[in-house]
Amino acid sequence: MKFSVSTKPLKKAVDLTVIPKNVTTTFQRSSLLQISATDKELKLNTESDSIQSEVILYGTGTGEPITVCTDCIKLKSLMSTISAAQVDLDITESAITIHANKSTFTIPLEVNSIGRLAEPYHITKEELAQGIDVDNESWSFIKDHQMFAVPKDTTLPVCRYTYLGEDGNSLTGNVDYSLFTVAPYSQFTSTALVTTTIINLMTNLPETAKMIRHVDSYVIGAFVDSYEYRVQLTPKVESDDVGFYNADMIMEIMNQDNGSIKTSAKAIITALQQSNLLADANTPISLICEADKVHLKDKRIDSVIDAEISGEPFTVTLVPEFFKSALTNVPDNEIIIKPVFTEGELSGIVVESGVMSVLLGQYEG
Amino acid sequence: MFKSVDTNRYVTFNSDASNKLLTTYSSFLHNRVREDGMRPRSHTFAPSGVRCKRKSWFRLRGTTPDPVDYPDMTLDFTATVGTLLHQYIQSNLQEALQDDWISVPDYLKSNPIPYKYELKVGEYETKVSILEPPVSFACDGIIRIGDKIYLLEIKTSEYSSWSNLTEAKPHHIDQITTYGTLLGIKDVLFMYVDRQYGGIKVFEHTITSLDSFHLLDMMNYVQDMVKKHIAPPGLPAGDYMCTNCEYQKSCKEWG
Repeated sequence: MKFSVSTKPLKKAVDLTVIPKNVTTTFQRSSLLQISATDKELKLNTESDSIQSEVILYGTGTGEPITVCTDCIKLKSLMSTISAAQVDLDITESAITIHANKSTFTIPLEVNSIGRLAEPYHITKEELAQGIDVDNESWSFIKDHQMFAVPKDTTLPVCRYTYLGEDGNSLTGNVDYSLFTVAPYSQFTSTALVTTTIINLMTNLPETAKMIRHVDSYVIGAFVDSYEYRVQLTPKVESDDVGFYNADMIMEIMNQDNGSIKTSAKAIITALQQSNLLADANTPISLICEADKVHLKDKRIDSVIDAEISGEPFTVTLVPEFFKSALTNVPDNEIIIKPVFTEGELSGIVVESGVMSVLLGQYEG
Repeated sequence: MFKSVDTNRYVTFNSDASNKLLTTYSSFLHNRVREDGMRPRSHTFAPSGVRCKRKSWFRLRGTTPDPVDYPDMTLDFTATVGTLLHQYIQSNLQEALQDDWISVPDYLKSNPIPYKYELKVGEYETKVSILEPPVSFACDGIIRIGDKIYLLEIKTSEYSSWSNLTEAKPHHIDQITTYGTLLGIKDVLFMYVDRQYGGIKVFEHTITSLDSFHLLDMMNYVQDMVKKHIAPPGLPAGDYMCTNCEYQKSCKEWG
């Protein structure tokens, strides 16, 4: 099959379907890009954990319709280097040859033992018109400011997911580090647990993307002049198998008002960096709030921080690495730190910054 | 150091009633211009846009123009003034030239063209719709000077642009080449009219066989690209035609 298509839409199609961070060894099918060509259509499909995506492009094909799979990263990398206005693809069972201007590039294909990739629900324009606009800013916020708290390894599997509540809250957390983040950026209409692949996808969507609920999945589409894009993602739900986030309990702990310290994230990060230069490994650091001053203290440093103080004095001991990680990822430099208590005992702090809150548990050595 | 602001320049109403009228009329105009801007175009070549193969390609495919958030009201007003001025000039010329003002249907009866077409006769203009290649246009006039037939093209412009003119503008020549090629008229008279003071300049131009050949070849090429779903090249970056093009966003998607 020989297929001619304008280059830019093909590049866009590859960029939409191939998200490098979603290509993993644990999900073998994620390394493939399925290409199907007919006399008028070129269809690209990919699959990763919880996601099936597809782009349909229009061009001109001659020969028998064909479907092949290729290495998605290889093709994406190659396409990013091509500047010709049009490419002519020569697709056979053993190779894809790309003709661009006078240059030729051949990608040999291995025998596909995996079979055809799953395809997303074929949402129509009319169905999509009933959907909601995907809020790119919300998803970007989750990725840029909350994903740092998702552990790679954990004793509690549910923490590997981002919790998206039907109440509009997005939570990430690490039970092992007693570190949780909350922000008001869930766009899902019912509570769901989403994989990191889904977050990566949601920050890679075209501007005009809209989303609808479809059975237990969400289907996103964008129909523009040069392509049709569809993707289906299936979040998990809390269950005995996956686990329970106990989001209500976390939110309740965070919504305490026992006084506060208003200060600058940068000032505390600087003090933590200074401590890191001088301290032994794994040395906890104490945040001491007195009536008239706030300081960070360990064996080797006592750093006074400019702050506005209200409420009773308190001292909390934290893991410096987690504290710094939280402060580095909050959206605003101005922060409010509040002590939190569990059953009357000081158990940690909440750092509030803009619309986001981070819960840090006290160090338990 | 700084000039003080003359706030009087910004006064547009002085009472509740005058404000209401201003608001009602402005909103009406704004919505009408916005809706006109988003109306699907007919699947034809637009002679005023033949310079850009990609724009023609979008039109032939029926691509919906980009959504218009803030319509250009000044551009719309200028176009409206231009249209009214055209009618004024055409009416005067009909009276001045008498039998030397030739109606398009009469011309086509005596000078058949090798295309299937439909005509829609108006008060001063006749809309010509050629079926293949698909082009619709309304030329400003066909006139006789001596025993030569000329295509008349009226163009209105700002005084500053008009005063510097010494010949027809290249992008106007592209447009008239379309009319002339399809109607079989190679001699053209451009009448440039200054919208502000009424000044007039007239320039003659001749459409060559090569001009016509290139035009028809371009049209065949664009139609072929429509069938193949492959975008032809657009104009170079920064071209003036791109500034107000209704397919700017779509064009970027195609590279």
